[in-house]
Amino acid sequence: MITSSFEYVAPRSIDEAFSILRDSDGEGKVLAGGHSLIPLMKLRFARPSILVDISRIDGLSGVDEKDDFIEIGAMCSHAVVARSNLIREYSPLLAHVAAQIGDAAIRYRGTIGGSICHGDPASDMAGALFATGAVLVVDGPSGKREFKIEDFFTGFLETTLDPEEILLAIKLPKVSGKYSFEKLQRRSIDWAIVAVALNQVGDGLGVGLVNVGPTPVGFKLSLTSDEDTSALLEQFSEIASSLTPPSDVFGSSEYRKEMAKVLFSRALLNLV
Amino acid sequence: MSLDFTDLEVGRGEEKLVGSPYRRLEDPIFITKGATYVGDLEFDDIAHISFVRSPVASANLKNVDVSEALGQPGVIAAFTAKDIEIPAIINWINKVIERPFLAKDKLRFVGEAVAMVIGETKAFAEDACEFVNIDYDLTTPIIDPRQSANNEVSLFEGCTSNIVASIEGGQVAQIGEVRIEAEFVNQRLAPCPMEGRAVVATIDGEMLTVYISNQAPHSAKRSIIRYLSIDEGNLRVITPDVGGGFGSKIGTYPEEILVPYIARKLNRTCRWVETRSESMVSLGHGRGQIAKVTLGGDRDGKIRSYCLSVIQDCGAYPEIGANMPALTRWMTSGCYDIDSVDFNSISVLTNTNPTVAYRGAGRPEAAYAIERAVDMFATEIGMDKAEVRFKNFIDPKNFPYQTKVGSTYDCGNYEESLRRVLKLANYDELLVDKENRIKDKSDLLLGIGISSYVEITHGFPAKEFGSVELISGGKLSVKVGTLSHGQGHRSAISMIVRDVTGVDPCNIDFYQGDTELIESGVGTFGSRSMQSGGVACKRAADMLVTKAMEFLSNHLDVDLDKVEFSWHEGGQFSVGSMCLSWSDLYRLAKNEGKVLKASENYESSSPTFPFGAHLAVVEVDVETGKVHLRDMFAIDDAGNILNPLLAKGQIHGGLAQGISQALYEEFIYDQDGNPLTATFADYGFPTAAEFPQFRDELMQTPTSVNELGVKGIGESGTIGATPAVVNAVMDALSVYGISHIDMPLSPEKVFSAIKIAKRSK
Repeated sequence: MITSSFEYVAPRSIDEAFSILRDSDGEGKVLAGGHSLIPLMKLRFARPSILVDISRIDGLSGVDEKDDFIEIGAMCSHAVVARSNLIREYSPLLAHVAAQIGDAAIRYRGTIGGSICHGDPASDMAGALFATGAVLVVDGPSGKREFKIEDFFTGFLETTLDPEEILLAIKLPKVSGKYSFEKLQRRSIDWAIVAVALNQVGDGLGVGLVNVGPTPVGFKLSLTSDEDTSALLEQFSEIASSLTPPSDVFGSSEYRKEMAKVLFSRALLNLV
Repeated sequence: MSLDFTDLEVGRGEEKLVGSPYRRLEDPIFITKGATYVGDLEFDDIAHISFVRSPVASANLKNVDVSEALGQPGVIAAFTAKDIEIPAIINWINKVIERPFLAKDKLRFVGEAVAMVIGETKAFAEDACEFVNIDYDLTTPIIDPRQSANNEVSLFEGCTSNIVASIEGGQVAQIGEVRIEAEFVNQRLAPCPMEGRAVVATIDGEMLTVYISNQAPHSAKRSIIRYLSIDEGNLRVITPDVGGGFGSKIGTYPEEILVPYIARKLNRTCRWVETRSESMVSLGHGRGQIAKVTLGGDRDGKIRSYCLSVIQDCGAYPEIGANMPALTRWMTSGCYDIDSVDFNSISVLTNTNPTVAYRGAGRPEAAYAIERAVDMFATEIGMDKAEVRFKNFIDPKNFPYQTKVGSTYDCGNYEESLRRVLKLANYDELLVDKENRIKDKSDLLLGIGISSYVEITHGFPAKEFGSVELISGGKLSVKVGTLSHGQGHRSAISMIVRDVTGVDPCNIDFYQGDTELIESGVGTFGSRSMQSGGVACKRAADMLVTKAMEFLSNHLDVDLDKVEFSWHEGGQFSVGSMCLSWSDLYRLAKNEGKVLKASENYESSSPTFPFGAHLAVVEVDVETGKVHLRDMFAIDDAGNILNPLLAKGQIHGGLAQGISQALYEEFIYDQDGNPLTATFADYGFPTAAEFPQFRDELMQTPTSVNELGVKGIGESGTIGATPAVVNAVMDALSVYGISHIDMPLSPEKVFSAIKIAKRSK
């Protein structure tokens, strides 16, 4: 429960952060809210030699409205996401999900960017971003890059982020469609055993699944009419059968698969 | 500004304090300054201890090499079993079994201490632990207690089997038209006190002072004396604030003896504060009992016979957990008058963390077994679950009542507590709601679970110390041998003493947990403190008043019967028209070089048997298996209540732990003995969000065992709540013909049971 030793730096600018990361030979790790990273360090599963705290860099924690999208700074806490009027108006699913993450302490410290970069398949936030069709804005030595959320996660706790890159912001299309979020948990602070996030986007239904495989999962189902639930269930069922959820003390892989179906059909019913 | 809650509500009037919701004297400092735990104590030049623990459950230990660790920065020393010159601990149950202070020759469970590293900081010590190399050959572990009982190979050389203790009992003759047979598992629990184990040992010349987070400091002192061969006069044990224990801090652990041992060896102050990771795998676990029950009864609802067979998992070394079946046995037949009752048990070794007493300690297991069995019987004969209990309760006229296993229940009124909880919960309306949901084919089934419990407190009556001394300014100094670790003894005992002496609790200095100040003591466990230490302080206060009156009679040279005392107005002595306060008495006595002080070593004649009835209402989501506890009702009777705020605090905490066993908590080992729930991310330690607002009332049937009329209330919640919640879930699932699911009732377990039941229909 005590981390191995590490150096801590808190740069004031993004360029300074880049140069520290560059000089650390891959041993540096970006610290956002720390709610995923610090526990791993205390268990000594993670032992970065330099922690680069990006919380003092200006411009990473705002929510801005652009023409057809909103941009959320990577350092926005879950509590900020849950409260933001812009997010509540243009991506209400995201605000709804953020309000249910962990407990109050976690929501005040944990950040949307940290959650995504950690790459945990159990992240509610990742599920919500899949359902809304988010785009991630990344900066680093090879310049600014943008990723669709579905191209970001590469393996268990792995993303396409280069160790010297930093996630700057998340771009969300302005959506007005119905949404819902169904989460099955043991305790209220637990990660979801399984969760399903849905968001109508244009003529499709964005789906984000939590804790059903090595990475966060999402896809889009085509929506022909509002009444077409049996066709959607069928489409979902087919996809669900190919999922490979983890087995752990919270539930077996088989149980998670079944629950994904149950929660999906509830989420369909509860679209608002 | 100092916060003084006591003047907010009660305690200023001319009324007795005992029985009133007097605010806790402990809280202002906890809220403003904070508690002082062992880890908070400041010392110059302190060294920090970390333990290296076994990564495997079973192995022959070949070598432990600390040489690399010794070369790490900030490392003062490192030790292995070879360096510890204290003879191994001879086991209290079986003298063939020895527990070395650090693992020697064998590794017996994941988490067993193997080596210790002492650093200039805790961080240095932790870092260096990674450089201790343990060389071992794996051997096959035994994890399942059922397998251990029948295993051909015994875990300890020289033992003929893995059974370390047993209680013989015949199989009772099966009586009755209906026979219920079932197996119930009381899963292993991690106690999870907020503060883990913590020890500081500091040396001043010959004098050794040990600060320890513990429930029984005098017994810790005896252990340290025994193993360190130190003169009694050269050892002082101090227990500052303790952040919870739940039974796990009654005993003194090998690590806790090693801290003073190393401090003497290095001649330096040493501290060990365990990490949460250590605490989860090596602070003693609770429960770990498998019960087989056989209940026989007639279709008219009368229970005729009951037999309980228990396998107790002791873990790798037989600690107090090995003796839990004895406590289970006392409470075998619960609240019921049954013709034929029997009990037998075996306690077995496994390659897991040793089990100890944990809130309820053996009695929750007994209550769970019989309350589940009674429900299954009611279902079998198609009778209402309350009605079947009313038909079998011990008649309130028949107390004291001797059970068939030999316990003598002091007093009780089980019918009344059940009646009251049914009323509180609107039982009849709940039954209608439940049926309607079944009719409507709702996916959210309602379940109602009843549990009537009786338990034993102060199960092993022992002398307890209490003293009251008049000090400067007419204040009192109260010393007691019990050890509050969250219960609020300062408040309760100050209230008792105030009602005798009239001295305001704010003018009573309260001392516990210091072997130098308090000449003897047993400690706090088994819900014993008020009926032992509380009574001792009451008697000491009475004696002090008498001594003061005698002193006054001598001093003024008047007959004793001319001296009067009233507790009103802060305590007033009067002789004729002369009126004196405690402060006057102190001054007069001091002038004569006298100290007014009284002490008592009180030994209660017998245990007491609190009881009550709990009722849980759950909603079961049949599509996911998730259980939602909607309401929890409780009627608890622990005799006279000294302070309902303190009593309710105990009940609420107990209910939470009891509910949590039913729904969330289980310490799991895989088949190789690796812990799967060693962090709070995996172990189902609950939060406030998991519980409804508890709806509870106190009932008071005074006992005649002691003059305060009190029983213990520390453990009732955990004893009654667990079976109530499980009974509620099974009640909801009875539509599927499901009769039992082992705890904790996780969504997947419930879902799978429903799935299997549906398939076989």
